[in-house]
Amino acid sequence: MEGIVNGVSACHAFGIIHKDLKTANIFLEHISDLALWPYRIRIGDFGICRVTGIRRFEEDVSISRKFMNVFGVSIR
Amino acid sequence: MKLAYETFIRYAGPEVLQRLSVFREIAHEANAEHLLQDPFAAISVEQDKASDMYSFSMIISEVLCRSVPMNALGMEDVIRRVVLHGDRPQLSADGTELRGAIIRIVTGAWNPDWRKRPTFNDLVGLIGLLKQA
Repeated sequence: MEGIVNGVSACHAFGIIHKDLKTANIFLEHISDLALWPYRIRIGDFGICRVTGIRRFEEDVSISRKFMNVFGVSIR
Repeated sequence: MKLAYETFIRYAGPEVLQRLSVFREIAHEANAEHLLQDPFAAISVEQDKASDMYSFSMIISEVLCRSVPMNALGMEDVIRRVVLHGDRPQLSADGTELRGAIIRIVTGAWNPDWRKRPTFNDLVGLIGLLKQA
């Protein structure tokens, strides 16, 4: 739950609204055998997402990719 | 494609469903034309964000119930129930504080009025508080 909230919150903060959130678009990436929760949440399928702001779409996505990596979220 | 559309409907907020052409017939049948929304009207950024919040509530309720929201119902029945009757998945508390808190978050997130739903920023703060408790 926390992973999804952090991920979508980061998207909204950078002007990306997913618009098609569902369990089929939430992915678990196995990152470690040692951690208590060995998965990282990834949010996928931004096919119908809304990108707000005055920057061009490509610019927005590349900026968001860069920052969302900080939050452990990626665009697929 | 049809499958993707049917899945989309189970996670889409009532304000999204009210714009679909399929809702037009449902609204006429139920004499609820006042609920029809102009499909070409501009949608505010805040409303779209709130719709993401509704979808999030469906994801969490799916995890809690271990079944897809309103799985037994067809597409039109889902729209009818969600928009006209305000139905939502049944979530049962198990007595633990954590589950109770999650259910309170989820029920706030699927509020029929999108203006009353929390933002994801609100939830980041709430989860931080839950982790401290």
